[in-house]
Amino acid sequence: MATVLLEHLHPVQHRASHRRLALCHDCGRLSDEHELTCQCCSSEGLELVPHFGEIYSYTVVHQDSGSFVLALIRLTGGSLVTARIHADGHDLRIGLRVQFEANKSESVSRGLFFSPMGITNSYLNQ
Amino acid sequence: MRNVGILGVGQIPVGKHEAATIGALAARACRAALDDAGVTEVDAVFVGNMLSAEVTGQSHLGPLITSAVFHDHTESVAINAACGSGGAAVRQAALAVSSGVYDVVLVVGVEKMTGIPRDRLTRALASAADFEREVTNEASFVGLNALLMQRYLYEYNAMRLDFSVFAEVAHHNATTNPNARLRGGCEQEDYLTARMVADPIGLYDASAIGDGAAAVVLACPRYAARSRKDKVVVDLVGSACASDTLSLQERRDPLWLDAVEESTHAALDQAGLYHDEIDLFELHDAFTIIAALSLESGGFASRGMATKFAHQQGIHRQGKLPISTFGGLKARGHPVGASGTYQIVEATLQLRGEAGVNQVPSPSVAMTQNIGGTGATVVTHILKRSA
Repeated sequence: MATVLLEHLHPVQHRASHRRLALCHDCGRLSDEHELTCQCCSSEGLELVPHFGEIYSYTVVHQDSGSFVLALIRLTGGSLVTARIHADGHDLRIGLRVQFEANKSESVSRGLFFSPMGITNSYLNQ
Repeated sequence: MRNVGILGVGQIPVGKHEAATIGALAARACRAALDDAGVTEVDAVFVGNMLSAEVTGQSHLGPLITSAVFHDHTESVAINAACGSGGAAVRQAALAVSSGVYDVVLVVGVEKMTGIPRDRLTRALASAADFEREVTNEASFVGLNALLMQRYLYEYNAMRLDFSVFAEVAHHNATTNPNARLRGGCEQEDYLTARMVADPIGLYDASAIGDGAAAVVLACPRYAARSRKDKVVVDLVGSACASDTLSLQERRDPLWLDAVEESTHAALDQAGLYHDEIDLFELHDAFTIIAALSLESGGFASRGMATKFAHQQGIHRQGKLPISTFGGLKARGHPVGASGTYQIVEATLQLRGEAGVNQVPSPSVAMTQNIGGTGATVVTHILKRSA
């Protein structure tokens, strides 16, 4: 817990809040790589969006292989994206602030992931 | 454009027909519709189907079915609009007759879904969603509808319990439909205690899959008058189709199905009718949330008020707007590419007064609405009993 609080107070996190993601409105690709054209569909219509958002809706999908959280995220700036959330469904609510996570999984090659913002931010947003 | 008459209807029970081929299922429904119409030849065959290529390995259903039923070289084509395939096939057939190109045509919707490994079926069904934006995030159809229902409960401060009425009414109507997949009924307690599939969608919020086929014979007025001299003729007086973004995330407002609004109003305008002249509505209750959104976006209930409308106005057979009169997709079953043709068959039986125990009192006008995806294709038809 204490480590999470310190990380969110650290000056590096403040600079990271200015990171932008590239959202392609033609195919929906959202990437944290700086692109001039979309790697998926070659569109030049990329919009830089903040890497924060809030949960517009979510559901816990139960499968034989386990559960996961599917969500619609409203990015700061207004666009909706479909994504999974790295969290237990019990801790989530519509309106909860989330942040983009680069997909580093070797087993999952596609899709967007978000995770809830730290406790400090959740407290400040109440 | 000429009027279009519905000459004949036929259907097979929605269920597990694992031993039968998809061609055989379709042929049974076709022959039933042709017998009902008193017709042995048609000018063209239109087939509605979504999954066959993926789950049975059989594509190209037009000639497969046509050559089995007619043994000649009748024109045939298959139409795929996901779960809206049946309605889309009826629309294309109606356009062919209405335009004057053909006098009499056969439409059949058919699907085989049972006996398929669940993950393969789930993947095939998910192809109706946006692959790049939704399926890459493991979004299944249940998941996408759960997102809608969750947001609905939040925006309108509603409860899951409010939706129970859609399940109760549909399942009750299916108990007396010998062609229905689920005939056991559903009480409120069943609805509330059923297991969650994707929160807040429980088992009774979702429709039953199954194998099925339903067929309709459409004809121009001159042909219809010759064939059904002493029988009630039902006319197709409105036919409209509208589309929307494939993905939920691109929708103008995810809780407002723009294509439902467009399609409903276009069909009503064609028919010269108003909402309160619709005596029954075979809507697309693949999920209870879609039933609610259809009533609101279609203009029957105010925004956020569909469940209140259902309780206060009545969606049961004696209510102000009966829906799912034979069980709907919910309980009669949802053999996805065929559901749209089942809707036309059931609405026709109601208007003819041939619905038996399921008869709605003296209906004159019926609306059917078949939806592909989460509202990306919406086909609306209005049927009217001839004077």
